[in-house]
Amino acid sequence: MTKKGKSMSTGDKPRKPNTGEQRRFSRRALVQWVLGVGAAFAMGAMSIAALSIRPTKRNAKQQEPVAAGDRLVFVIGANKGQPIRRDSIPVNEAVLAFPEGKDGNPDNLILLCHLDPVSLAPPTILAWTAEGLVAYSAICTHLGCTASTLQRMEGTDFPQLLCPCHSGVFDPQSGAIVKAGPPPRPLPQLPIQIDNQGELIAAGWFEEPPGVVPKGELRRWREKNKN
Amino acid sequence: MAREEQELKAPQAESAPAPSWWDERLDWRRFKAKYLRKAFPVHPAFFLGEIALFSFVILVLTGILLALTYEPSAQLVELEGNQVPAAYASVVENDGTPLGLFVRQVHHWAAHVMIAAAILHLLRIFFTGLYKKPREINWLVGLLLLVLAVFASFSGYLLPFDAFSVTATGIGYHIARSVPWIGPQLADFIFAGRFPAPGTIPRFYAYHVILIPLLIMGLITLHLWILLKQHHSQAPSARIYVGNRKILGVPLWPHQALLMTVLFLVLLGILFAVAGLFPVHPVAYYGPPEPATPVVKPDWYWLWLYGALKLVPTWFDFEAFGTTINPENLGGVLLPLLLVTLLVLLPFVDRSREPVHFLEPSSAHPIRTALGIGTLTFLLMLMFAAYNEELSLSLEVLRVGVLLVPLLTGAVTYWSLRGRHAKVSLPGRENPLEPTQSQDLTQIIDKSE
Repeated sequence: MTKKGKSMSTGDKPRKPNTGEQRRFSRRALVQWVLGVGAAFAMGAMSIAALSIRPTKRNAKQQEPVAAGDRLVFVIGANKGQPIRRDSIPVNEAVLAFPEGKDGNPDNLILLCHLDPVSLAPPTILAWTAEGLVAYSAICTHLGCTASTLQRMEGTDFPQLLCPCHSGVFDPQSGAIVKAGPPPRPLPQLPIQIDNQGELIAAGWFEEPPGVVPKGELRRWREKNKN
Repeated sequence: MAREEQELKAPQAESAPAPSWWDERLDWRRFKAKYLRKAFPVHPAFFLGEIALFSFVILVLTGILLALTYEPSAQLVELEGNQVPAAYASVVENDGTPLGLFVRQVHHWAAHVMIAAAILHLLRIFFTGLYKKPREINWLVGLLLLVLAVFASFSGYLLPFDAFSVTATGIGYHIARSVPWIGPQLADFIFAGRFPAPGTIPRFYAYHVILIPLLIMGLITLHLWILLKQHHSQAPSARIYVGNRKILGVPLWPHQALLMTVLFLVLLGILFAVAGLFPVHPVAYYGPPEPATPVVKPDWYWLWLYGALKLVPTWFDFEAFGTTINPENLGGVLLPLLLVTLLVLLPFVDRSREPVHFLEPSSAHPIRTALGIGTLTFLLMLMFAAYNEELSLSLEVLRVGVLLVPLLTGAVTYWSLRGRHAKVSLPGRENPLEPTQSQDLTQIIDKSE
């Protein structure tokens, strides 16, 4: 059976040109070309709408990085939001802390470790510790999970900071260096002080950018901040 | 045209029943003759694609029910005295309604079944060589469907917004950030800013319930249309009965339709039973997202990447071509990209001059089968690495094993099949399953006819 359309389309049949000259550009080709260009422009114009797909940003204050003078407060548990004192952390344990009012920035998550002051050794910056208390970024440098003392890995020394996602282990006594697992660098330390009310406050920003930072970006940061 | 048809039909008019109400309006009889008599070969392995399709149907139906109560927002609301994200609260509340938890569990299990069936379907096509001419396009469509199904699962994982799913998606965010060159921009575009951002849930909700399902529906339509256009592949033994051109099978209506209905109902019954008996992703047990990370292991179809992330040594970290190559993007991005690229290229590397319509026996293609078995072993070894602590296997042993064991299984497969191949094609004994001699076989049948 023949298709319906075929006999009707006279345009496909070779026609004798009116003049002796062959037409290089048929009417059909022109129409198709114009339609194609029109469609391309329409698509292009609509793609501008994609520019509106931008990240939402809210509560700018909550997302500011930790700075000197910020009071450190509990993140989880019954005392959530309450200031942290030296005696509220058991020895050889760590608690999670946020700078007060700045919990919108995940990079601000801090691990406050209470250790024997004698056990602290470089590369921990001893001037940044306070009576055996030492603070590190809690964001694992591997893939951004939270390291803590909430879980423990069998057969490793304690105290330790464990990231449960891919079993990264950090040593809080010596600068949170990587003892096991895939993290590429230690957890950066945060300078802390005990204020005259006995509450813990931050004394500055981290020694290095916290969290997951690509090697190149980190190297550029180090070069810039060395000078 | 109309007159021509009347003339053709005229002699049959007496025997054929009078056209029905539908025939008069939609020419239903002609449609039936053309499509509902289409032959479908029957073989258990041919149901894998259908299982994936039916799982998708069940996913859409249960998904609509879930969307009726789900609230796509990270805004904090009060639930039993705690401030929790609205998305989490709405899922906990849904779980408390009659059959709410059940529907969510059916949805979750159906997603697992869909991905498993799609992977097995892909393996069936791979090991029987049916990606070759003329099915290259459908092979690519199928691959895209599998990738989309995995992304649908990933985007759906976040939606309950509990401690578990937020941690898992957070790892996904950092892996996306590690993509060479465009990582940070790409990740912030997909996740609507630094995860977990206020815009992440609405965006993932849109991916999960609109964008990806629409793409999957369109591609399934294309997949099936190409299948109808090209006819179903069939077992080599069918050639003996019907020759090279025809399909040995049951008609779509009513036999195949009955089989499909039974399959659908059996699948639904199994999913109901599994969802009722085995809890999956207990949102209220995981609790709302907290800064402290729970112990997470990814779903089974991510395990190989999880294992790869563990296995790539930490020192493998260098800068090249203006980007960083490290264990994260090697294991999490480049490895899956390599596997997908190889699968995309497969029909253009392993080609056939003649159209292939019959399943090629794996034994007749030792290289392909060995490569397939080797790759599967490689993925399995990576899965072992994901559970290295539970299996008490050291990473050093696994690093050697992940390279050696696949080579070994591949080599054993190759040599055993090569031996078998030589045995079955002894002179004087024709093997009807042997495609290299199909030309001769066809001639024999033609003569006998």
